Order: sequence, then C-alpha cells, then structure tokens
Amino acid sequence: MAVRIVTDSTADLPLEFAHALGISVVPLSVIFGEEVFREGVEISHDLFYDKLVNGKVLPTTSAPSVGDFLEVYEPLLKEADEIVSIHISSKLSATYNNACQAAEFLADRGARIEVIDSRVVSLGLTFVAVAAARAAREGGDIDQVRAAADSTIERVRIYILLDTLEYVRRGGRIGRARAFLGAMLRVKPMLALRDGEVHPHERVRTKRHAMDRLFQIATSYPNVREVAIGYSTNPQDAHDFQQRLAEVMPHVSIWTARFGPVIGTHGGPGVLGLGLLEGE
Amino acid sequence: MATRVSVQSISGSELRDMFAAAAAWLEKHADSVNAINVFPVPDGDTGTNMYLTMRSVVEEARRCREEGAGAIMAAMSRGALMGARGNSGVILSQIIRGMTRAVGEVEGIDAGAWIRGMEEGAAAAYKAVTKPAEGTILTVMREAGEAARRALDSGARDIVDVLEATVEAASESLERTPMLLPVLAEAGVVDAGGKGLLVLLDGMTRHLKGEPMEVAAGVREGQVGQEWLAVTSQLHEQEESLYGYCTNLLIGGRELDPDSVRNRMLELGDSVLVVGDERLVRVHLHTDDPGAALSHGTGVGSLLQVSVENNRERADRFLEMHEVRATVEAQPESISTVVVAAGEGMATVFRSVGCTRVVSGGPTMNPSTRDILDAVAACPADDVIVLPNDKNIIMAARQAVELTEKRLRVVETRSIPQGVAALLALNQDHELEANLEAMEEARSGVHAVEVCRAVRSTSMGGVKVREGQIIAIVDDELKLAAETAEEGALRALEGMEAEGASLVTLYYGADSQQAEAESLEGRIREALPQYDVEVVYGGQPHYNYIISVE
Repeated sequence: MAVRIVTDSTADLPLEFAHALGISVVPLSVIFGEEVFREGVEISHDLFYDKLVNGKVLPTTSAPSVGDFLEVYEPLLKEADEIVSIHISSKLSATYNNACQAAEFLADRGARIEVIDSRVVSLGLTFVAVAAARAAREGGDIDQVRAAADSTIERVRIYILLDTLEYVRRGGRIGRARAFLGAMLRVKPMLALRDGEVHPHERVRTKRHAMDRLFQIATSYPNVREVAIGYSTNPQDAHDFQQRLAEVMPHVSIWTARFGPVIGTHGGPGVLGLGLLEGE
Repeated sequence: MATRVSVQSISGSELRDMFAAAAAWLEKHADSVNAINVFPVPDGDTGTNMYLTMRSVVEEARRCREEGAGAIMAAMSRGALMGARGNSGVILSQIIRGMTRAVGEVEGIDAGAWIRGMEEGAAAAYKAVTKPAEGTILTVMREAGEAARRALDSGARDIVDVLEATVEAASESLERTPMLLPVLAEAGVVDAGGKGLLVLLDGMTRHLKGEPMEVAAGVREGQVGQEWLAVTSQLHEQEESLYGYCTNLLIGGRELDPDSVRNRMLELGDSVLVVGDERLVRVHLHTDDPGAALSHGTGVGSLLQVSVENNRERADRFLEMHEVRATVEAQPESISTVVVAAGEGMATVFRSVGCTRVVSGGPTMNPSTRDILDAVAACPADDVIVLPNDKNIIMAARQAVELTEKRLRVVETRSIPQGVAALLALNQDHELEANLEAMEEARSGVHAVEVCRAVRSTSMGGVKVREGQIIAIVDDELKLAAETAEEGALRALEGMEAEGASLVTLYYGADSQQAEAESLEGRIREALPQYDVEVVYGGQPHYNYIISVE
C-alpha cells in the first residue's frame, strides 16, 4: 500500500499537482475580524485579496488544530498504514507542531506518520511535497519517501520580492529582515527564506531593478532543475518573468502559482516569489 | 433599556465640562501614551504634554466670563496657545484653534458646526507642521473629521452619534498608523499623539453619554518592541547630540510674524513648529543651539515662556523606563559604513537606511582625512566601508585607508544618489568582497542631478553661466544654466538620457521649501510621466536639489 502524502494549504499547491499526485491538504485559516475562512476551501483568492486591499479589517492567520490534522489523518489510515506529512517551517507557524501532536496521538494506535518540517513555505513546500508524492507513486516505502523529501529540502532556494515590509512586520514573521525596516526612502525589499526563517537579502529602489536582480539570482545557480514563480496580485509580472527565464532556460520546468490567503496576509499585495530547485 | 437624551446642540457650559472631562480622561491615560512615544523623538512625554496643554485649556475656559459656546471655544484656544507643551501640545493647540475659527461666535454648537470645527482643526494642524508626516496625530484627526462628515451626510444630527462615529474612525486610524510611519512599525506601537487624541475624543463622548470614566483594570498598553529599543540604545551610545535640545518659547510682541520666526527656526534645527499671530507666537524646535533660538525671540519681542530640555537625556530616560539595558542586544554588524553627507535630513535618510556613522561634509566643505578617520574609529566592526559621495572627497577617503588599523575599503560614490544606492545594496549576511561588488554595481546604475547657484560666471562645455544663476550638473557634467532651481531641475531631467529609469527622488535642500519641491514634483510628473517621483527633505546646504534618477 502506497505511502500517503499530506501537506497544508500554505503550500499553495497548484490543483493539478494535488489531483495528479493524490496529495491531501490540511487547511490553515485566515481571519477577518470575526469571519474565519479555511484557506483553499472557504474563500477564493480574488475575494481574499479584495478584502485585504480594500477592506477595513486586516486579517490574521491561524494554524490547523490538532483536531484538524486528526480529521485528515484518520480517513487516510483506513486506506494506508503510513503517512508522510510535510509542512510550513516551524519557525513561521505552529502547523508543524500541531501535526506532530496529532501524529503522536495516532502512533499509539499503530499508525506511522512522519511529520517533516520543510523549513520553507509555498513554492518551496510544493517542491518538497511533490518530490515526496512522486517517490510514493514510484512505490517507495516511508523511509525512501522521507529521504526524497529531506533531499529536496536541501536543494530549495526561495527569494521573495515585496512591495512593502509592512505585512511581514504586522504578521510577526519578519525575523532578521527587521534590519530593513525604517528606510525613509521608497525601497523594494527582497528577502530570502533560509534556515526556516526570513532573512534580508537586498533592497532595490525600482521594480525594474528588482526584476533584473531576481533574474540575475535565478540565472546564477548553475544546476537548476525546476523553477516556480509565485504572485499575490500581479499575475502579469509572474508571466513576464516566466517568459524571460524560459528564454535562457529552455529545458527547465517553470510554473507559476498564486499565493493563497495565508501568504497573502503576511506578504501583502504586489509580492513576487522565486522558488528554485537545484539538481542533486 | 434607558434611552439617552439626544444632544442637538452644546452650550458654552456643556462645552467647558466636555473638555474638562476629556482632560481628566487623558490624565488617566497619560502614562500609557508616554510609554509608546517614539516619534519624532523617543522622549516619553507626549501624554503628559497633551494633558498639560489641556489643563491650560480648561483653566482658561473656567476663567471666561461669557456664556456662549463660541466665546468659551475662543478662551480655550487662547489657553491652548499659552499652555502648549511639546510637539504634540502645539499641534493640539492648533487643532483647537482651527475648531474655534470654524465654530465662530455662536451660543450653541450643533452637529454641523462641530464637524466643520473638526475639519478646520485638522487643516490647521497640518499647516502647523513643517514636514507633516502621515501616521501621526494629523492622520487620526483628519480621518476622524472625515468620518464625522460622513455621519452628518447620512443624516446624523445628534452630536453623540457624530462623536461615536468619530471615535470609531479615530480608533481605526490609530491602528493603521504603523503602516504609514516606519518608525512605529519598527517599534511595534501606534502613534502616541494619535492615541492621545483618541483618548480626548473618547473622553468627550463618554461624558456626553453619561458613561463612567473608569479605566478598565488590566487594559493592555502598547509595548514598544525590544529590538527597536535595543537598536535605539545602541544609536545613543554612538551619537553625541542625536536630537539636540527641545526648545519651547512663547514670544509676546506687537507685530510678530510667525512665518519669519519659523524660517529662522528652520535654519536652527528640526521638528520645527511655529504657530500664533502678531501678538503671541509659540515656538517648538529641536536644536543644538537653543541660545540662538532664544536670541531671535528677544530680538523680535519678549520671551514670556522658555523651556529648554536635553532631548538625549529624555530619550535615555525613556529607554530606562523600558529597562532596555537589561535585555536584548541588537544584532552586531559585521561591516560598518561611514557616509559623507551634509544636511540633517540627509543624515537621517542615511541612518534610516542603515549606515553606521555620518561625517558632515559636502562640496563646499570637504571633510578632512582626520574627520573620516574619527568616524571609522568609532565604528563597531573591523571591516568598514566609506562612501565619500563626492568626487573631491574620494582622495581623503583613500588616504584614510593607510592610516587606520581597521580594514577600510572605499566605494567611490560620486554623489549622494550613488551613496544611497550603494548603501542599499549592502547585506550584513554577505562577505565583504561580495558586498563591495554589489555596491559598486548599484552605484553605477544611478544618475545624479545637482542643482545649485553659480558662485561665479563661467563658460564650460558650451554652457555660459552668469554668477548668481542656477546651474544643473548631471553626472558631474555641467549641463545648463537657468533662472530658478525648479526650472533648472526640470530641464536637466528632460534633457537626460536615462532609458528605462522609472524613479526620480528629489532631495530638497536648506534653500528650498517643501512647497516648491512638491510643486516641482507635480511638474515632473506631468512633463515626464514615465517617472514615479518621491520628495525627501535633505536639508543640504549649497544644492537646492539633489536628484537621483534610477
């Protein structure tokens, strides 16, 4: 029986991956005042971003509870004995911890659930979940699936270009990028995700420079296997960038995905993300 | 459920009681407002200042013999001017003054008059501040007034309904202030002046509704972020006179001219607020030379009130209040930077972007190698990068390399815009060599336009210049002469080869006014729509405008 793969909604997993690879997704929640929406289930991206930009209330996010994980794990355990559950960096969310607790609870009943801290989120998390799912599809046992996930984690590089640091700051995940706060000039902050948290990478003044720098970063890695480009409110930027990269990396798989409500809450509008998966 | 009586009009005595209640309510919250006071200077007294201003307001209202609301309002306005304390107190006094003007000589204030008062109050507050910043009491007051207007437009006639809408809007506006003012975001608090204003409006509303005025136990107060406190503390250890002296004067006279007093004060320091009329002028500023401010006061009139306080000391006390030294260490930097710049605004800009030390200097006053060495010696890191920001200062910077034990490198920035771009490219997590490369690349991607007055007649590169004319220098080349700085700037930008550039930043100097800079901004946007334009106060001497194009 194949190992089942679980991830969470912050993976922003494109639907085609979820369906084709049979990955289960546990939703986080985004909260506007008193309204609670489960990401990917109860609120569309368009509606979310409209509320984010035009609404009066700023949203907050919340991790799935232990019970939410049990609700996903238990039905899966009727069809399989083993689950690999891969999640958003534990430094960015309590999701991983809650998954661990659910896994421990079920371990008493003989289930084997490996919970993995991806140390990244969104595009990066998708790379890891997909790698694990492929290993499972090819008949790998739980240790092999785990190994595939761990190996992928080592090879993921994430860069994020923001319009403003304000959403990151408000959401509390600013980490070392705090060093970038307070500039009295208009700057576009570029961050990197490393060691599970947000790091300052560089600051640029104009969008054009920012895109050029992002392009330089993408092409500076000699052995790129796959590229993901994420966007929150500017799909055109993502598609233009995709085309630009495709011209110099014709044999590399390059896909785009929209950041969901949880990332949107913490990143804000106008975000462009670059995910690189290096070869082994 | 008891229905409360609808309040259609506020009489003079009710107005007095309302303001007294608001003052008392503010007194109860003064400490929590003080605790989050980080802008413009972390001196922890916004709450106290606003309360003391209100106390003077209420005293003057009590002394007033007349009964009409308009007369009481005028008395309160006088009290505000006389008793205004600190930056926020002066702004509050202007709000009240604006309200008084709008309300006029009436017996009772109805909803319409109250709302006009709020709108005028907001407008007066903005006018009082030389460099109005959003995300402060100004924003909260403005948005509160807008909400009041909306309430009136949708039919509200009961002043309590209007006030409730005002308080709600003020509260929301206050929550948003960190999104508008970076230092608030850094420190993790909302704006103190805005909070003080909210408390006053809330106090008035509670009084009119007959609600109890007890502060709920365990009310969560704003907590200033530990890291911000640590960084500020580190800054204090490095800088001698970071904020100068907080100087407050009340000048009395006969034909005083607040505008001319303000212009003089702008030359002496910053956070300048000057308000008043020909009989009374209230001055507030932060300056390193309070004596000069006082001399000006005695030169134009007589000093009725004087207060000079050391900002640095108050800031230290503020930090102690939050027990900083016991806790967090700011991230030590691995690479320090020394930047050469002239002008208080410029220094602030560079500091805000993360430089370690600023050496005062520029084209007409080159710093010596000694000046640069002193700054390098004061840097915490062993690796130091110097940004000379002028081609004539590169020499002095290079000489410093030999004369210091530190590993000193120079990125040969030839202008302020290059300096800013280079500094932005620095990343403390990267190696020195990688950083130097990135900074070099960043500086070469920026064009600089410098606009100033010609000190002598000359002819260079086909351009004829008469002494006293304005000249525009683009990337170190003299390009044109013009009659005004704005014309020079605009023509230089129009004539530039800057393909793909999209952002113009106007740093206006000590010889330019904000209004002129903003008008130039408008003209640039119109003539060159491919550019986004940003206006920043540089306060630099000599150059009316320093402009970056990137």
